Amino acid sequence: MMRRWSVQSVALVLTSLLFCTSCSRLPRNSASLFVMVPKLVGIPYFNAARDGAAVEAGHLGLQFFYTGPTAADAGLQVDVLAGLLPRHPAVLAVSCDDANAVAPVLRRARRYGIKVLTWDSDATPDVRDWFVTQVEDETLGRHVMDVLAREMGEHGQFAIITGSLTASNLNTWLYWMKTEQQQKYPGMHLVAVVPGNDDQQQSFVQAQSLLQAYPNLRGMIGNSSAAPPP
Amino acid sequence: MNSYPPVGSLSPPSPARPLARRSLERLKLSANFQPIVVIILVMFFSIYAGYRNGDFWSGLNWQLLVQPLAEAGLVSVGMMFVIASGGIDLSVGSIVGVSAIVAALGAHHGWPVRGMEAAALATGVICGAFNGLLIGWVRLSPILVTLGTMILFSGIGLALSSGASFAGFPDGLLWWNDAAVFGFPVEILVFFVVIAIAGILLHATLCGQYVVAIGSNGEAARYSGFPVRLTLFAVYSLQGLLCGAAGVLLMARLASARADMGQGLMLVAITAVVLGGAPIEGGFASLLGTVAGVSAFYIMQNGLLLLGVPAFVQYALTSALLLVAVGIGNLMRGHGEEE
Repeated sequence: MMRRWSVQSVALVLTSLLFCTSCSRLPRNSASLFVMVPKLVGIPYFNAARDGAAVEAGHLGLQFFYTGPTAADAGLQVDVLAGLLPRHPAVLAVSCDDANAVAPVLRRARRYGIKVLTWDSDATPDVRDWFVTQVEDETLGRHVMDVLAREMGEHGQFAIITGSLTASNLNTWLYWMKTEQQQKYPGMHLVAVVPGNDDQQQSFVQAQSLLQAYPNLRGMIGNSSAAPPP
Repeated sequence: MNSYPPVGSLSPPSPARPLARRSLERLKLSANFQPIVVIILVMFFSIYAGYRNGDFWSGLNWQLLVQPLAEAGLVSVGMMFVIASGGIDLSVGSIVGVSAIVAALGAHHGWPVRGMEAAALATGVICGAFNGLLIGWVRLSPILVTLGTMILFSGIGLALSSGASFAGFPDGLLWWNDAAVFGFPVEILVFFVVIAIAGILLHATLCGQYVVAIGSNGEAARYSGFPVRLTLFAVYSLQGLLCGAAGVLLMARLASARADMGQGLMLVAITAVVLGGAPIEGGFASLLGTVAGVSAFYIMQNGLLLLGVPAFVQYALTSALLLVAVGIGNLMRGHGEEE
């Protein structure tokens, strides 16, 4: 028993040393560092955004760094953002998985003098300097619904495969799709909204089950870049 | 002939051997050998990461780093008891999510902050107790029960919230994330308190002995008249309580609540316990190992991020370190036994 406690106390001393030495150096300022964070790494949409941004950063003479969570999860994204703050990049460009969840860490970033830019999916407006959007949420949602209605002849059952059920920009698009359908296409009937979790394999399986469950299904909307077939 | 079988490595070392060698062999056989290997490897990694990127040792980095670590740490300590009892809890992430959603719904109905916190903890305990009932009294296998409740609880969370994320909580709740004492964020202090309580439960109470006894041989524990059902019920309820607490901390840190909030925590918690040297089949618990395991995970992830390692490679390198730690631990221990 004595021996075990002595080993434990040695380990405790070592870990507390780890903590004590941690307050020694102040973070450096990387004046030319441009950090880009997608909702998740590894899907074609964000890869395309990364390539474009990397080229432009090269033109502007900025140091470009791209990193993000490996799954579309707000908690993981916040961990990544928090880990980036000590590097003090000049600009932090984020496609926010959840507008509310990233707000505290982005507010903190601005307090340290980091310029915060959101793209693709916005944060709450008070925590970022700019938002670059590919298209207005309302226009996108209504337009997707209009196109589907034209293809389906404005009647019949349809389903929506979305990314994750909690992604804030996708849910806004969903809202406008549903609004457009209710206002303009009473003959159409939304039977299901299912999550593909930004995963092509999962989206594929969901599409198969939808076809099984609703034999009269006449249309499907892929509401995330991983939902439609590549 | 000697009437006793050779006890081998368990015999006391002969006094003729030098002291350093003796203590090394004793260390190899101690329960803490595996976590010490992990701690040494992580310290080497930290020195290297600090050398390559000065930001690694900044106070800001450690303040930000220990917050997610504390949340995962709470769940890992609960998981340590669960695994020691011969079980596993796959539903922890879902319990974290549903606790946060219940508290968030409370906030929207104008509950006070203490009420929200109590609601989250109570939801956690109820979910955990439900697991405990099915595992202790109905005697279903833990993996079966918690696989089911993992989907059940996250389904309840999604249904209650309709997939939306809640925000706009009172400052009293966000205090858990903002406040610090002598530079230590409150979250890590909560974790320290939980470690202390868990240590007392494990080493100084009958409850801890029951858990380990049930894990090493459930039938024997039953025939010895140990309160097996009640202990299992308590273990899963405690896990639920800790998940509820992790839910409150996570809500405060993200200033929002979503049903899928704790998704990654289950794997981290199981990894932490196993990395700390506990066999997955139960019968053994190491608090030091669990804390070292969960810290190793987050320190590695953070260091690799600061070194600019791409996200996918981070996972590969983290798990490589974990395998190396377990491998070194096992090899050296095996070597010690042969001698």
